[in-house]
Amino acid sequence: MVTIDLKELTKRFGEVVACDDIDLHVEDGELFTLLGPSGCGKTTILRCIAGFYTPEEGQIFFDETNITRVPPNNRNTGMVFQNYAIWPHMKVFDNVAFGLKIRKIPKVTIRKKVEDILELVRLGGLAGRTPFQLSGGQQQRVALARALVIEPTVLLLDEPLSNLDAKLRLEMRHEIKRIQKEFGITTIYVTHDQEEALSISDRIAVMQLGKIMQVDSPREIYEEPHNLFVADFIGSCTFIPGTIKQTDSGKPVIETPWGLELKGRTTSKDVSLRKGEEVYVAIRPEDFKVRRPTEPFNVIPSTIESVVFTGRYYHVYADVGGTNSVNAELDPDTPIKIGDKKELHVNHSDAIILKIEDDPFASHIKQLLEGKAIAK
Amino acid sequence: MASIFSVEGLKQRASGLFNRTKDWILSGRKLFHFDYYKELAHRYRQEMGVFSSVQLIAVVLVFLFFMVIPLFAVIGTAFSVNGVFDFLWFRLIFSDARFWPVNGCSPQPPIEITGDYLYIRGVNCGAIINSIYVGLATTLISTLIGVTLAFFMARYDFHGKSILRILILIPILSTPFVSAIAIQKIFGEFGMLNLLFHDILRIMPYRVIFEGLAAVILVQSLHFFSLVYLSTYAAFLAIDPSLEEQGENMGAKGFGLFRKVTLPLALPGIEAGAILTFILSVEDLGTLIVYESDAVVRRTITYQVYSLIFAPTGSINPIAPALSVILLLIAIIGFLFIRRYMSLRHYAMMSKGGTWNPRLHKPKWWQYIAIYGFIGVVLFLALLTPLGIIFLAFSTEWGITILPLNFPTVANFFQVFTDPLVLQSIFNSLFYSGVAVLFIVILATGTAYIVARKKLPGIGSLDLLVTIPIALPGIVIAMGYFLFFVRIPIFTTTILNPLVTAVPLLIMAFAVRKFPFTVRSTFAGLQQTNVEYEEAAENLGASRARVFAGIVIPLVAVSVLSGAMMSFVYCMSEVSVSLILGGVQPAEAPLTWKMADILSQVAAGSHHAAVLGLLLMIIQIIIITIVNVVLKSRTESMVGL
Repeated sequence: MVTIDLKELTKRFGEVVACDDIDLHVEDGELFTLLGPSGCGKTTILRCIAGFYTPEEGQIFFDETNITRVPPNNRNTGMVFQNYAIWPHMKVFDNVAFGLKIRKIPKVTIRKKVEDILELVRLGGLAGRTPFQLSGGQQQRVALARALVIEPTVLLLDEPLSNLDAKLRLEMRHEIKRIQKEFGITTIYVTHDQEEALSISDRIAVMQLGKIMQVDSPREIYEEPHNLFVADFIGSCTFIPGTIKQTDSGKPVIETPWGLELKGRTTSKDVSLRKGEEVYVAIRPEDFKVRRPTEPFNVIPSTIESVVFTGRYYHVYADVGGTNSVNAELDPDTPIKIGDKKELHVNHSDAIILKIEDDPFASHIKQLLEGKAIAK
Repeated sequence: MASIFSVEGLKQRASGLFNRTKDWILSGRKLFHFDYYKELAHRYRQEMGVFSSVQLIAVVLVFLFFMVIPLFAVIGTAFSVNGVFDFLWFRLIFSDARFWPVNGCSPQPPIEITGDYLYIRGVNCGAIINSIYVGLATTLISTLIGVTLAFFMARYDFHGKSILRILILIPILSTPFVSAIAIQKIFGEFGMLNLLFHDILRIMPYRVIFEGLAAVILVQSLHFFSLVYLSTYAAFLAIDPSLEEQGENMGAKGFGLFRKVTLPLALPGIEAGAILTFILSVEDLGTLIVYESDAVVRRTITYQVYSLIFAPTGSINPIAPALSVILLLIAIIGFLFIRRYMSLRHYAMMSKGGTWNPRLHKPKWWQYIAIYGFIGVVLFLALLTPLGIIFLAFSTEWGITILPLNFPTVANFFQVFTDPLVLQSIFNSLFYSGVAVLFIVILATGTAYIVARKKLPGIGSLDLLVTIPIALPGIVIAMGYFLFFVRIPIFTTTILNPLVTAVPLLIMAFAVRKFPFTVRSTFAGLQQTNVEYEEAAENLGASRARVFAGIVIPLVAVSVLSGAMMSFVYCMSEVSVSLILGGVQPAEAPLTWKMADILSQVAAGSHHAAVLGLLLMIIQIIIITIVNVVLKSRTESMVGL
């Protein structure tokens, strides 16, 4: 198996820069996900790796080999397409055997390999079916089998689950992960579904507007967002604006426009905060608690504006400071109703301080917050 | 879009024009950089590969040799005298009353009533104006009938619709000469209609007689309305129903909805069909030949060009190329309009998702009357033609009675099918058409694939090159062959010289002229086929040739086949090139030439020709039925757009 390296990869379509100066390293045997909203360039990167697009600049390496200009049919990648692309004029067997026939493998071996791989994706006995006789999930498995049977050096999955219904999607997620680990094959997985990305990946690259915003393990992507986009795109976050009041002792303190002080932390080591600098504090809904009397810091007085009981928690929107609204999931043991004045609390390690400077996404968050303020 | 009647609007337009010009000049500048060509060469290598390149070169060579260069030979000859640039021939044309109304149009009234005779004949304004107004009148009538019919068929659900849908396809059958003869007989002075409706039923107060160009318009309209119908019907069906529903939801209904929503959405399809009708009407030669005894009918561009070429020796009156250029100009301008509309056509189909239930209404009682009344009249007129051909084929005389004399008899069949020259011509046509279609299939699939899939500069021109033959008058192409392959010394002793043998040129002319039917049909098939099928194969290691043969061809086989069958049908009934090139060596002549020959030679010519017309009809019915029923119909292959 191989490692994949992208070096300064840039692909343009006319004026549009689909992916912009991308550097990426994927480990051998890793399941690496490209995650981002539609149009962020994730599929472009995948198609560059498959060879369907030639980048304007930069190189692609499989191990030490530069494959940037190798035609797609000589790259030995196995790709699963969003619409599966199961050839309708061939039976399941012929679909799966196609790549092997091209490799001029003896017929007996082909039969054996196809049968084995169909068994592996749990389609044993369906080799004689035509694609029209298959359900969506089965077509998905055929596509996977067809890509895997050639023993590709790299497996490429382009939104493979997006056309399946919710239940099947969960099932296939585990299936793909199982098979990928069984083969130990270096895999690039493209999706816009963050839950899917978080649950399946070894590492994730979050993308936006042709650029990579952060590359990390799922846990770090969720818990340690490095910038506003990642914090906003993954899960949901309440953003509270503020200025840095104090930067010493590793626990920076910020002050909100309405005079509330919050202790927080930064996520990457090389962030330096200036006194008086404007920042946002990002807090996950599940990190808000109703304050217990023992907690002296990070107390946020709020007024409950709306409550939805979901079984596991109360999902509330609460007004803080008269201009901002927080989105919190609160313990269902204490009853909550609209109009209640509650003191919320958030741990300093759960209050993530994100710089506004140099963050192109800041203006978007600002608009979002102002929109909320105006709506009041 | 800002109005051009305000200062602001004008400013906007001016600055838009300025910017576009600037961009154009700037983009033109890159043409002088070596790097641009290096990059372009790289992109071609990457996108095309050896396989597509070979296909591309083959197609371009064929079209260059058998279409483009011959046409330029015509244009060159038209604009020169003894090799020197000159407008002489055009000056001659525009000062000659035969071609241009230098003394005004003919004084004869276009419509005249004498006694109980009503003559409808049209005016004579010289060949150029005549051809244009015949084309316009035919287009107008065909469009009115075709669009109304298409609207009823696409939007109303009534009894007998499924059978009507098949019957309406009958007029599209192309039976040159004999359909005109059938109409000539039926609408004649003592023809079926006058006898029935004037003499017996006394519904018509006059004995109606179509003469000259009016007769030509009648014959053409009864054929071409089906073309407009097909193209419009497809356009109506392609409209996303939710667009109409949205219109209804906002309060539009009935005719208002039709005029404001449906019609604009279908307009590109309608206009494409109408313009094609205009072009085909202007270049139609078969009908003119049937009516050639009428001096005014001879005053049309196509007929003039035809009569100014003397095939057996390849001699061409020097005015003919100049006349051809005028014909060519009309056709090409029309075609460029069609392309504009075709590129607009897609906006009616932009919406995605949702179920696609065509909107069908149950007509109210008065609508029933209107629908049946209209369709009844149209269908009656349209079915008269095939009926007339059958009457002619199975009788020996038909002139002053409702039904023909000695009907039915198979005598004609015995006479026609025992004539070795006729059998030879049938064999020739089958052979030429077969080989031509073979060429077409081999080249058109590759071309359609390149046009549909490769994103490279110049692809638009390739598309233009292979679809424009639908608009090019065959007579001009035939003349081009004479000017190019006869007069250029290197060809004189080769088989490409039509005076040596007409066979290779006939085949290539068929292939080039009927190419669009297959290429458009294949292109449409490719557009409906997901590119991912091909990418998946490539990803698994298949070479381009393998992808093409193993994935592309099987997936679009149905489209290729239906297009090829239509190409074959239209090869069999091709007239203009057949008449000119067939005239060189009668033994090599195709079926249509033999039909014209029989008409002019044999006493019972029309009855014998009708037998051959019937043969063409049967071949076409079989093929169109297969295309429609077995392969599911594709308008692209039927209309060639």
